[in-house]
Amino acid sequence: MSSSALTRLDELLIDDAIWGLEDHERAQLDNQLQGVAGDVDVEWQQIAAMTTIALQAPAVAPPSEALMQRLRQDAPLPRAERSSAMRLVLSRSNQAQVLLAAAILLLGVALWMDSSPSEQLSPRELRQSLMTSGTTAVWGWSGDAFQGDVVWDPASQRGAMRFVGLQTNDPGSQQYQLWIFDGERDQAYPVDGGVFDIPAGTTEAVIPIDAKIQVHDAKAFVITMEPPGGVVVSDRSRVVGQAKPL
Amino acid sequence: MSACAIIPHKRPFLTPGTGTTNSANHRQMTNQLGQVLTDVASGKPDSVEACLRHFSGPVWSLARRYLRNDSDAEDATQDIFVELWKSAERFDPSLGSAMTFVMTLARRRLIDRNRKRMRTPEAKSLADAEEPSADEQVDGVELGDEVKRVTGALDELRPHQREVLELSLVQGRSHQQIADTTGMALGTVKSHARRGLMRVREMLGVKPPRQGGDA
Repeated sequence: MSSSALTRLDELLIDDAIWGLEDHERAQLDNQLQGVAGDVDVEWQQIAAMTTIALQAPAVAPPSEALMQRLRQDAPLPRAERSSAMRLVLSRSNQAQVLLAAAILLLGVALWMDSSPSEQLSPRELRQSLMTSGTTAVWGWSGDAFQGDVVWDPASQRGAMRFVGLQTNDPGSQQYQLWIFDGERDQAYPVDGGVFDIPAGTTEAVIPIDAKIQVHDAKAFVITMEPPGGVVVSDRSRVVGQAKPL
Repeated sequence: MSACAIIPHKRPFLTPGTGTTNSANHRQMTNQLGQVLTDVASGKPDSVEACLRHFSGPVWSLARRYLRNDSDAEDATQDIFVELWKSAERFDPSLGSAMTFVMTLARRRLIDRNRKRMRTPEAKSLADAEEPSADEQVDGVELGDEVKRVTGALDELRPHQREVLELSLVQGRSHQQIADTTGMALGTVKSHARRGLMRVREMLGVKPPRQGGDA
């Protein structure tokens, strides 16, 4: 095993990536970096991060639900909710100039929202609107345990699932997760279509589909039961249902 | 309901050294994680939940080991995600994977927090980090191509180099703490860490920077 001789610059960059530097070392590093091409400091930070990921990977624990709630509270609002928040703020302004700007903004927001129908539609309304689209395909759940269908519009990449009689789940112990098999992707890794729940007392549920990445050629829709929050890739040990084209 | 018969059952999560999954699958997984950050930046509904699902475990686990105190680790994790929400738009997949982006950000925050805490006179004593118990560990994190190569490089390191990198990068120990723990001289600790990371860098095929005047 051979290793190149380390310069003082290497030492400072590596120390910074691993431990951070004291002020006098930072000044020394800044001085050394003069005349050096590229983001060598960023490179070392990334190598340290990758090494951390590799070393830590076998023992990663999930945070508590309480912490997850804290993280969610700080998270940015989705676009549709941002728009609603903007309208609320603007409606409270009394200044004429702001009102004029608000009117222009609202017009833009209205036009934009008009082009993004699913973000203001309920799941049932979304399903209805998709059923009228000329590019939507309808799939049926196979088997006897529950009935319903899947509507999927490849053009808009939107869809909805309808379930009748699907067993309720306890979100604290397990959740349903949708997988979309794309004919243009490796079948070992279907597209994550989102997690969802069937609350107690539900007879018919309509769930919007949340494809994490683009689906080029939907071949199958499969539901699995997974731990809370879902998984990145399912081990498919608990397949609940599969939809086939009608 | 009959089980779907499309795909044979297989173990999808990668763990270091298994080498069971091909690079195309790695790339797809890496692309999915990158898309999650892109979606957060563009405000796509549900992207936050996906982001938390993928990244909260690795960040929380690292914070817990660095800070050795659940309350501090929770605060640090919250800080890291606040920063991530702001900086997700800076993610560039051509410069590295999404996981590397997130963990680079997390490490910088944790190093800063640790250094500030060590400078504070009333800083809490550093008890041994609690490893997550077996029943709360998740199956593993998604390793992209680049991290998979790092895993291979780590297997090539000398035992002391790997030990020092593990204590510093994963446990967040200072060089002095590592020297106290292992009995190595301070200079030896630094040397093992530097040469270990340099070796990882060499095995990743990163070329040395062009320097205008070396010290």
